[in-house]
Amino acid sequence: MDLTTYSVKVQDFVALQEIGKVLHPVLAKGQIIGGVAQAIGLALYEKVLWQDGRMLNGQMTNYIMPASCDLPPIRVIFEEIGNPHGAYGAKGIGELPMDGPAPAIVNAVVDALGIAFDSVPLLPEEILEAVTSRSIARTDNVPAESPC
Amino acid sequence: MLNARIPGSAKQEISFTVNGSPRTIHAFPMARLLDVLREDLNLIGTKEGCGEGECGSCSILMDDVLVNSCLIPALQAAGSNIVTIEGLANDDRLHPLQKAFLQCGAAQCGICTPGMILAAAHLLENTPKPSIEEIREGLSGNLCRCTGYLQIFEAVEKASRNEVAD
Repeated sequence: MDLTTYSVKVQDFVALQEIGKVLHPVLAKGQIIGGVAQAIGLALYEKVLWQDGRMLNGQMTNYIMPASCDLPPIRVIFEEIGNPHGAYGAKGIGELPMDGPAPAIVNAVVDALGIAFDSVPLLPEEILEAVTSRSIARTDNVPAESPC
Repeated sequence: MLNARIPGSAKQEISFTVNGSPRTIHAFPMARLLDVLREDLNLIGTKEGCGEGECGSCSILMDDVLVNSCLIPALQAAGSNIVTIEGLANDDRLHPLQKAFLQCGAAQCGICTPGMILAAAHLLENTPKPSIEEIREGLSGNLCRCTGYLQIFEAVEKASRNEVAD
């Protein structure tokens, strides 16, 4: 975390996943890396702004998702304990890698700052607000200009 | 209403080279090059991801420059030398980058892949042995949602070291 700008960057990530049985090592690893990348976006970048029930920042220019420069090396380690119901003991892994990374990243920020955070994404301005206990314009609900 | 006296309101002949072949199309001068490639020339390898020049799915090479074809009016392409993803393989023989992408799992849904491969080809043309930082920078205009990029970097490194087996 940059202590001047409060921007957070993940520098290293280890994903240990128990998936029953690795059926295709390259594809399985790709699924985990992709899911971790999405979850890093959830944790740090992908703010959704609402107005009157509509998403304000629904374009690639203003909805920020991770690009190639934004991701750390992601190390994937598999455990194969097995699953009696899956092919050759396999479990599903599509949604799995999304579950852990965002809480892990928020916990890292909590550990670094000693301040509790309970929402994602953790944008720099939100960390600043918590650190300085100064209320700044919230970005999570843009008020309507006129009744719809 | 189309009025021939308003510039851009009538179709015209526009010629350029695509993947080594001279082509002439009859299109509105402000039609997007992306649409001209896909619909007039049936080269559907080039994809539309955002239509606003942010995602890089529509990337092609125009006179050896990597460009977003969703932002190029057809008239701007007149006389240029265009390479799309279809121009990379040599008949049945895949380009080393294409083979590397297959071997490293660098494509999942595939929507970013044509643009990503062209961006990588452009990078390797200019920087034959890029560092990992140069690869990240060189591909930074091409967004991928599925892979998390790492296997793409592996594929580019593998191709740059000529380690791609047939």
